[in-house]
Amino acid sequence: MDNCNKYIEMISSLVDGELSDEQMSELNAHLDSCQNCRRVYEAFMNISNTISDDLVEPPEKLAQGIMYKVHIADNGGTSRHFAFGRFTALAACLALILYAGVHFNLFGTDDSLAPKTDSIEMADEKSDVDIPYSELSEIPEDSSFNTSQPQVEDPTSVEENTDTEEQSDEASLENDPESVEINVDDSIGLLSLPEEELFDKDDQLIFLTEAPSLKIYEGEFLPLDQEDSKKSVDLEEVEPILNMENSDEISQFSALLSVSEKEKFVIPDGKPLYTIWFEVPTSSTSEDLSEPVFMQMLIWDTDDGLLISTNDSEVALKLTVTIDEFNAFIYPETEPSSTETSAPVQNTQSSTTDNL
Amino acid sequence: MTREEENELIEKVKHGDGNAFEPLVLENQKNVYNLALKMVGNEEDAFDVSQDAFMKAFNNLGKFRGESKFSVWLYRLTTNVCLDFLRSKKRKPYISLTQGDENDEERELLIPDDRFSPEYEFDKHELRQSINKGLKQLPEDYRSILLLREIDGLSYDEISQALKLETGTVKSRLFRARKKLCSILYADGNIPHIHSSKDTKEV
Repeated sequence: MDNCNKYIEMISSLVDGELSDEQMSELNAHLDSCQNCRRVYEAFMNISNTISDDLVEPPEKLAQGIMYKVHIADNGGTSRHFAFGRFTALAACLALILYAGVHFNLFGTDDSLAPKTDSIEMADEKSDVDIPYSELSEIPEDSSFNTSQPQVEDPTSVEENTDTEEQSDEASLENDPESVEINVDDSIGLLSLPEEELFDKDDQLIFLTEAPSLKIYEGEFLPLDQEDSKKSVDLEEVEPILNMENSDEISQFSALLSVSEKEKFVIPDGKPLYTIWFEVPTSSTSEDLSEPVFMQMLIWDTDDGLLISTNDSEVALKLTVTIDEFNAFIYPETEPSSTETSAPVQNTQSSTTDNL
Repeated sequence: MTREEENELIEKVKHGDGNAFEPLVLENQKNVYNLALKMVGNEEDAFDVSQDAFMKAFNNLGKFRGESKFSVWLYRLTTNVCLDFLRSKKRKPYISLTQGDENDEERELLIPDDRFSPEYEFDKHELRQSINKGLKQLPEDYRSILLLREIDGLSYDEISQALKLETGTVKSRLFRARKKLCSILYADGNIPHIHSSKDTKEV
């Protein structure tokens, strides 16, 4: 039965449906008369059926996570808009992604593209905001989002600081263990948030330009606790310097907030110059629509120029606009004076400050 | 999804429309994930590896020339990501195929008569477990080619494109993979026999 060796190999091809008709009939004839070979056939078929039947559905987060990264990569390059990761529990986590023409090589390595799944699971449990994944595709068709496409050398990487050993020391935000940095070719990404919330399955990117409303307050004006960011009550007691509800205006304003320096700055002492409150688009949450959610950013006036940071980050970035230009936007009717605004403003509870 | 539809989407992505990548993800994620799962052996790593594979595809779309199906190219990427991952995780050196393995004509397929006779009943669940266990012990190159065939259903031609091998090599390597898997199962006392209605089981 030396032939069996030849036939056994053919059996493998038979299982794969890759035998010619001729070979098939020859083999079948042999199988009729050879028990050993029949058993080989059965064995190979069993293996084949068992493996191919044992398929599972991939977790939902797989596609979501991938598209999340795709969108981040997509909006690198020349985009100079702000994008904000939307993470669960309002308040505690503010996400700030700044894009600029400068490459912030915050992450040295690019091997670990994926989030650690235990973080995902944690985020899942904590998630109390449901943002339909389909919202991710609502990226404004803006010419500034037109980027060169994936012929990039460096893959996009999103990496969490705390667990990986592959972290790049030079650029990691060592001060802030909760930061996650995004390395997108020709852009900078700075995402500051509690790491377990990074990959909430309902994440999406919200662009400042889509905010339904945006308010600028003088000085520091932050919610007293997490819950306050939901309430509009507090906000009513203090008048903003500027209240924008017009999307054109908001777009223009967000264009002001571009960052061009590579350097990261320490959060200055004292109080910020302005606090920016913007409303997260409610269409993106399935929460009770009567309670809008707000996020804050702080503008600082320093000797190095205007800096911008999120509420709880330890790092600020430098804005390209000067304080005069910024003020010109906020106070269009007056002549901006660079001497007036350098003193830090006290946390105010009083009514409208008057800088006119 | 037809080749045409695939290529259309790919062009869109290349021109800046990241959203167009999504249907490609949805279409292929099951196969990629299952391939990864059986290659690396656990869900957590499979998840990471799958994302890596898709992102590699996204970032390298410029290099995809449409000569093969997108899925075949993607499975190639996935296989490579898996193999790299396994190499980096192993404490022992990567078990690549040696010359000896490839040319091992002498080694006969161990199929003792009595074990393969229809009297032995086999639980499907047990069988699946044994095979999964056996797969983990299979050398990675055998494992990957067998999975491409069984999970992703690639033809010999497609496998030869995916792995850059001659079709003849694909055929014989698949055969040897099965042979090797059988001998692993046999050594473990688990024989991939078909389910039989008879009651007797071998102890």
